[in-house]
Amino acid sequence: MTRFVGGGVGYRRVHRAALLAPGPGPELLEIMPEHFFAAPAEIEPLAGRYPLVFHSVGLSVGTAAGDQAGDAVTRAALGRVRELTRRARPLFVSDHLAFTRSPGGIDLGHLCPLPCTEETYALVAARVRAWQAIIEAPIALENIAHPFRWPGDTMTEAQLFRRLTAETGCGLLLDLTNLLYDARNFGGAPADLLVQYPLEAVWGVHLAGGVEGSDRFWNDTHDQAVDEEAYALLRRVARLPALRAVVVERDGRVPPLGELCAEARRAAEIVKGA
Amino acid sequence: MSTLAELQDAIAALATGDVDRSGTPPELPPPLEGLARQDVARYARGLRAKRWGEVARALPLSVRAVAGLEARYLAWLAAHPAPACDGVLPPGLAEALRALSDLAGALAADPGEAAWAGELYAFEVLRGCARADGARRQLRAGHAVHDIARELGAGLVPIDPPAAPHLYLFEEDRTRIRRLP
Repeated sequence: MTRFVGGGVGYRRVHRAALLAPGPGPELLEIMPEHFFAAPAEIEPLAGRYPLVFHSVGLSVGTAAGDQAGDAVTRAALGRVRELTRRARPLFVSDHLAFTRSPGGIDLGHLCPLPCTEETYALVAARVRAWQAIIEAPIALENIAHPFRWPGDTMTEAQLFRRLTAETGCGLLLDLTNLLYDARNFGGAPADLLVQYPLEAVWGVHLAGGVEGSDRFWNDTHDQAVDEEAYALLRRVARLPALRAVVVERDGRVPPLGELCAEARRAAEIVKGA
Repeated sequence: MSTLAELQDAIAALATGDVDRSGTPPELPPPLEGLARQDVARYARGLRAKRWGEVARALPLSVRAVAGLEARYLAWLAAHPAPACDGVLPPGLAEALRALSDLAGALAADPGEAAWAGELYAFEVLRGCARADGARRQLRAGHAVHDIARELGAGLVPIDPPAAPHLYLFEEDRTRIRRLP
C-alpha cells in the first residue's frame, strides 16, 4: 500500500449518470457498500471506470455481542460486503471505530463512540482479524467525531488506534474534520492531537464540513464545503508513506458533481505537491 | 465497573428513548455515571434528527402534504426504538416501512388530516421499497393516490379529491394500477 491514487468523492446515486458519462470525473470513488446491497451488479460499471474504496457505516465493529466476527446483523452484512469486494476489488474496506447496535438489539442508526479500554481493544482487534479473513480486502478503521467522551477511558483513542494498527495490520482512515472538531469540542490543538495517531498506518483521509451548534458544539454534518482548517491539517499528513486516497464527504445539500470534484482536486493537489 | 456490553445497552436505551423532551434526561443509570447529561441529550437529539432526515428524504411527497409528519414520526420513534435487523433497503425507507402500519393508520384516523394522507404515506413507502429492493408490494386505497402524488410532485395540493378506490401493485420498475368498483 504505497502509491497515492488520488482525490475522490463519496458516491451518491444522484451523481451516477454524471459519473458514468464520458468526460472527466474524480480520481477515485468512495462507495458505501450498503447502497449496493439490493443490486450488487450495479457496482460493476463504477468499478470498471474508477478505483474504488469502500466505506461502511453499519458493520458495528464494537458491538459487544455475537462471535468473533460480530452479531448476526454484522455477519450478514459482511457476506454482502464480501460479494461486493469480489465484484469491485476496492483498495480497502473501512468502517468506524464505533458501534451502531447495542448487544440488546437496538439499532442506534448512527455512530456511538467506544470507551478506550482494554476490553474494547481486545474485542475490536479480534473483529478486525476475523473481518480480514472474511472480506478478502484490507480493513481500515476511521476515527469518529465524538458526541461525548466516556469517563472510564484507560487510554486515548490515538493509543487505541496505535495498538490496533500495529497488532492487526489494519489501516487508519483518518478523518481530519472529525479530529478537528474533537479538538474544538474537547480541547487541544488539532496538530498536537494529530501526531498522536499512527500516521504511518494512514491509508485514507476524509475531509468534510460541518456546523457549530447553538451550544457551541461542532457537528460533523457533512453538508458544508470542506472546513479550511481541515485542508491545513491535510498539508501536515500529505507525505505519509501509506496514504492512497483522500475523499471529500458530502451527505446533505449535495452539490453538483463538478463542485465536489473541485474540492477533491484541491485536496489531491495538496498531497501531490507535498 | 460496567462491562462494555452494559455500557452499550445503557446508552442505547437512554438515547433512543424519550430522553430529551424536557432538555436533558432526569438522571443517568449507573453504567453511565460520569457522562454529562446534556451530552447524552445532544447525542439523542442527533440520533433522532438523523433518522428523521433519512425518512424525510425517502418520503418527499408525504413531508410536503402532512405538516405534522415529523412530530408524529418522532413521537412514534421514542416509543418504538429500531431493532437491529439485516436488510437491503436504504435506512430511510426501511424506517418508514417499519412505521407504516402505525403512522398510516394514525393519519387515516385523524380528521384533521386529509382523508388521503395515510394512503399517500403508504403509497410512497411501498413504491419506494419496491423500487429499491425489487420485491412486489400491494396497496388497496380509497383514493386515486397516484393522481394525488402526481399533483404533489408538481407542487399542487389536491383539495378534497373524491373517493376512488384503487389497487396498486408496486414493482421494481413500474406501478400497476387498477381502478376498483
